[in-house]
Amino acid sequence: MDVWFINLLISFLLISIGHISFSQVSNADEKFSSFFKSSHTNNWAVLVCTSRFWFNYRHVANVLSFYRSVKRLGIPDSQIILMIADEMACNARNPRPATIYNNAHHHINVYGDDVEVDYRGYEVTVENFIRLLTGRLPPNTPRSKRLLTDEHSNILIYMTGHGGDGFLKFQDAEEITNVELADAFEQMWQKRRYHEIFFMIDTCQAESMFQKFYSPNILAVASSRVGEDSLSHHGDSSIGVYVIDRYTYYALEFLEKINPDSASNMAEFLKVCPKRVCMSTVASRKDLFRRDPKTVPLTDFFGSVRNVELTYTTVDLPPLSAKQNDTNHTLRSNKPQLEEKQMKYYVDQFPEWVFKENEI
Amino acid sequence: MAGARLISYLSGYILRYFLFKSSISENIEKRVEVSTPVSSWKRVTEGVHLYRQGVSPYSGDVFHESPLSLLLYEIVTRYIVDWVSLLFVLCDLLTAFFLGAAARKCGKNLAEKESNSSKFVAESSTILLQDSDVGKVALIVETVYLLCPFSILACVGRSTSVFTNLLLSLSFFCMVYGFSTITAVILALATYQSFYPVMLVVPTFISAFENKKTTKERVYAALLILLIFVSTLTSLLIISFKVVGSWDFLWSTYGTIVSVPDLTPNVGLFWYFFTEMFDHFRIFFLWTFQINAFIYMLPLSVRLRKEYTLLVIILLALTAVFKSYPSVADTALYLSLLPLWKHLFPYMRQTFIVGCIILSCTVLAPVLWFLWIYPGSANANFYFGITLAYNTAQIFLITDLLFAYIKRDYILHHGKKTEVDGKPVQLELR
Amino acid sequence: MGLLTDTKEHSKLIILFKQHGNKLCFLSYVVGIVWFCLLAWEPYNNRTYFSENALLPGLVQREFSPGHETSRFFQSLKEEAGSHARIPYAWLGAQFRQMGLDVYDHNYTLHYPFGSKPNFTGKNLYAILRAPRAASTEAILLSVPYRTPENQHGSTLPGIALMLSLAKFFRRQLYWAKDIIFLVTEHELVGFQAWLDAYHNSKTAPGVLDSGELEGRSGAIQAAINLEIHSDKISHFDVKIEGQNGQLPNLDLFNLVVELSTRESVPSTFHQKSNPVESESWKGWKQAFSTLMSMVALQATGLPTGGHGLFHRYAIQALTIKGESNGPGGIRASFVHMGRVIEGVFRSLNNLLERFHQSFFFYLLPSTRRYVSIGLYMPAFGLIAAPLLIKALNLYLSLQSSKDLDKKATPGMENKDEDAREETFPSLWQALPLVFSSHILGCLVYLSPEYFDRIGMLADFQLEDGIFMGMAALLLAVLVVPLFSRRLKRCGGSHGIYRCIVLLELGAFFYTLSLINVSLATFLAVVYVPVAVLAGTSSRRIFTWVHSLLLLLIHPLMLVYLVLLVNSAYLDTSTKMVDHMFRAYTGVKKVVLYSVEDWYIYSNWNFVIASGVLLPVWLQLWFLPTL
Repeated sequence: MDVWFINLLISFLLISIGHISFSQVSNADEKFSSFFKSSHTNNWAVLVCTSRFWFNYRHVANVLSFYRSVKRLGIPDSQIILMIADEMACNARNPRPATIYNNAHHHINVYGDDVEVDYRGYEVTVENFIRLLTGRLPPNTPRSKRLLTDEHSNILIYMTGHGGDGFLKFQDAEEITNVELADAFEQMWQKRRYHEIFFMIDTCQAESMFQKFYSPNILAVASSRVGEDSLSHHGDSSIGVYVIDRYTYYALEFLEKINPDSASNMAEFLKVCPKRVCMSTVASRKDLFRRDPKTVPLTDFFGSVRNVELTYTTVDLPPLSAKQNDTNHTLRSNKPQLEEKQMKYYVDQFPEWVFKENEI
Repeated sequence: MAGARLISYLSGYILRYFLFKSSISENIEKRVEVSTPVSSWKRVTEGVHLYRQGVSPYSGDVFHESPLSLLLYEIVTRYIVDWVSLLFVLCDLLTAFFLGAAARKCGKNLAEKESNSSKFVAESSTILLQDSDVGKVALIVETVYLLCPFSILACVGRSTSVFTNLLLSLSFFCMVYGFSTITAVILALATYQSFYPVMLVVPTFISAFENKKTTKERVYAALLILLIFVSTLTSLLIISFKVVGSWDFLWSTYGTIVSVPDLTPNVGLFWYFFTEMFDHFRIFFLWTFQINAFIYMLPLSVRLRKEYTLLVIILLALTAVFKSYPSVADTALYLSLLPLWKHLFPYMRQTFIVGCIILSCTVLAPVLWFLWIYPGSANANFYFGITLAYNTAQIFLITDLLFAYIKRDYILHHGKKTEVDGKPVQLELR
Repeated sequence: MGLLTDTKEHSKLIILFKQHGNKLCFLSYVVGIVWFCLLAWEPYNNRTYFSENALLPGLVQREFSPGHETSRFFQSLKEEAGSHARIPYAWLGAQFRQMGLDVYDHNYTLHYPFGSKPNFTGKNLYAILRAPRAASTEAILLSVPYRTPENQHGSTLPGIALMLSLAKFFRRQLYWAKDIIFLVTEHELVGFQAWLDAYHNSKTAPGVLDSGELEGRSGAIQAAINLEIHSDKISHFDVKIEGQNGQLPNLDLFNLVVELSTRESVPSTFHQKSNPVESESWKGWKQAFSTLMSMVALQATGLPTGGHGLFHRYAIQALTIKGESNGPGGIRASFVHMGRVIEGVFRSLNNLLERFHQSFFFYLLPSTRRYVSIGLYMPAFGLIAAPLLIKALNLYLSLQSSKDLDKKATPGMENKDEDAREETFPSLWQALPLVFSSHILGCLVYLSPEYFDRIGMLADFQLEDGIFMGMAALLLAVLVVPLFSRRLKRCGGSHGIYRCIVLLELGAFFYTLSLINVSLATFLAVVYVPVAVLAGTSSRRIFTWVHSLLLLLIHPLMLVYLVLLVNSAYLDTSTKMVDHMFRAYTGVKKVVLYSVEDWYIYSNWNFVIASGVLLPVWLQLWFLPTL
């Protein structure tokens, strides 16, 4: 009987130890999986300014301000598609050439030295925009002009320009309708080109642009309702143009307080610019978005998620004075052996083989 | 009568001569209402110059005349370069002569037909045509053509429509006199030059049927005319090919008339529509407009098969409204033939309105053109409004004329009833 | 086609129309005039606004601050002007060259077509500031006509000094997207016309004005500001817009100048009148109405009120800014303020991407801040000129019905019917000789100036006398013909057709003219419509005599005489009426000469309109009683 009791005790101990260790492991797993709760793995931004001409300076300033914010919060240039329809920095009327300011007082040059515009000038057309979103680009399109998203990508789309009830004017010559935009997003959904989209639009009667959306996982905010105009905030009297729009100004004011590790959520962002400062009513669309905006961190769209790889192998970093060959050798020995690669060649710049054949 | 004729010819000649010599002849030549891309003398001189240099005048977008016309103009400008204006004036005078002669014969035919007809009611003898009218009518026709401001402008502006008008008047002359084969040849020439006169083949058939009673004779006559027309036209085209050396003149001449690539404003309806429409509808509208120009030929020929001279005038008028590059010369031609039907004028109801509209359009068109092109205060819509009103007035004129014809026909056959059962009654067109 | 069918309602309408035609005419005329007068009242016109979004007027801070530079320029200019008979080209050219502008001379010759045919030469000076980062495809112009202090219209030397100062300031700036051309013209309008002709390679007056060649050019001129600043300290800016043949610049340009003047606290006036303070009252209406009438009066003359008037034909929007020191408010602005206004205007013009096309080209201004658009004044004008058409239609309908009546009265009688049948068409024929001959006479008057001038030279007349005497003689000879004619009978329908044609001709003329120069059209309509409509309405002798007298009063030459008389009496109340009448008579001679001159040199249409259209119509009206 004593033996039976001791066996029971030991098994009980063993079981409890096993359970505790197991729970520790599962805790780690939980922590592990909580790392990827939102289940998006990369962030992209598509920032579009659709109007040209000098007196639409503020639209370019809007877009570039958002570009700066988004870059600051972590999205790299390779994942930002910047479309600007007219150059303001080098416009002959710009009294401060090669600069674009979004604020009369602080004089932040949003153009700077490191801006990368992907679609410029007359390339900003409705067709190019929809091709970009849906991915149906000609095979020779360079990488910087492609939206290489997958089903785990969160995309921030910001559009600004002149709009009306149900349309947005591109370049003063054509329009994109809200139906076309909704269909483009649906194509993106069906091709699994996005995980979630945050759509921002700052134009007159902007609400009409998101009214026709029907694809899931889209959160949208617009600077004005149908029938209202979005107004500019202030003008710069030394340049002689209006430099920023109201909604963008207050949105940027909000974003300036955000850091990459900020805990602000999307619901706060949707409330930015109340009517008394914006003069127009900010409208938003949450019904297509399956999460509650209060639980969505701002950095889900504005920041960038980097892939983290956990590795358990040790890496010996050789001292700096070691010879080049040794370093390479040491490093290479710790790496897993790769498969034998196939040799690849550049295509001949000039297809001489055509002529050689004819000669024969 | 002869004195009046001499005066009208002389005054027509003097007016044209003095206008040619004055300083405004250049301005008239530049006016878009007078010279269109297919009838401008400036383009003719340019084409002739290119031809002399050995370059094909059809390679660019400048020259749209047919090759044999090119040859003719080349010879004319080589030998009588100082007297080209005289050539234009002479052609106009000849046109007036042929129109007058045709009108005389036509009037006689009409009067004869009406006096011989047995279907008419007795009381309508008051409104029948009289032989005594005929001479006067011919004189009026000639005078109208000689002194009509439109024909003077076309002549002084050196529009090649003057030559087209000559050919058309000659063909009308031959048609009325019954020389149907010669009519076919001349119509082929006119079609070769400006494409739209092909519609006048149908009245030629009808005129050829005048003396022929049996269907078999008629069919033979029709086939003969058609054969002559087609063979003349084909031979002209082949000769043109030999002259120029390639077939690309077809695109420059008939291609331009049919596909309207040049949208210079003129008094027609094509230019404004085609500047405004989207590209992918262009072919559709091209077909619509061109079919519209030709389609009226069919029902009108059926209805007016007894009265081919009226058919000719109506077809000329419809051409002037609906062709792709009309000018005032086309209007002048059918306006001068209208007096032939002056026995219909009492039955026409809208002469006042039509006259007022045409007068105001003539005055407003240069003003609105100036305001559009020079200070830029007006725009294309204003000018198009004027051309639209002008064409609408012409359409009113045509429909009014047709209605008057039908009305008079009815009265001739059934008498004029002003009262039925004691109540005043009016005629209605259904 | 409902129009083709005979309907009962159609004839009912016609009967009503014929019964009340005269009342309709009278009503339409009176309502039209009242409407036109009411247009000046504030509830019936609109506030001006900017249609062109690109202008962004006044948004940019004006930075022109010349210090004493402009005054120094002004002093030097006065000395140079004193020592030179013409424009001090060397000094001006040197100043511009020092600033780094391209300076060019422009020589032109005027071969005066009358009298002893003297030749006048002139030389304009212009400098081009090339835009630093743009391609010289477009330009804006700042011009000053050169006037020394001895000139009766006031010196423009302060304007030139300001121009120099502005040129120096503009040269230092980076933000010009268009070239700026600074032009100083000699001989006022002739200089402007010659320069424009040479710039655009056009020949407005071949054989008369030889516009020479331009060595240097810029792009298409988008807008032009002409300065006539008479003093270095001014009280207000008077903005002048009326151009040749009644053309006006785009309303946006006018609004721009007024707005910027307001922002720089320089009072701006239109026709020397500022905005009414109490706008909706009777007083306000009076002031607005007097401003409106000043504009109508000046536009009706068809003469440009400044050099800017010649630019409109080339699709260049231009106006003149006149600065005077004798306004009611006292001195309010100096060079700095004036310069800043012009700087602001030029900054806004610089923003433009297309030609002015958004705002109105046809308008009337009752004040600097309110406008009457063509949509408002055209119905008023339409009503004033409508009696012509109503009466013509009435006459035509009565002609038709009289013909029908004849037909109905005698059925079955062949001869009568033949006449009736031929009634409309040949009676049109009958009317044509009169129309034709009156137009031939008009053409003769149009072609006559050169010949009369030659005859006048032979007879040793003064320049204006020769042409005027010749024309007057020709016209008098024609006028007295009715006196010798005893045939004052009226011939039933045929009289009506003459009236109908005259009324239609006049109507077509007025409506066409209203599209070009509505003020002239309104003035002529107000004067001619009653006389033309009443012509031949009654066959009583007394009526015919009174009507002929009225007709004499509205003869083109007589109209000019009366206008000059009224103007002279209004401006100068001290002298006697006889003196005024004599002054008006010499004035008429001058007006005739100037209108012919203007036609030859600037292609001003007054002479053509008067001789080619107005005179033939008047002659037809005059000869009506004799038919």
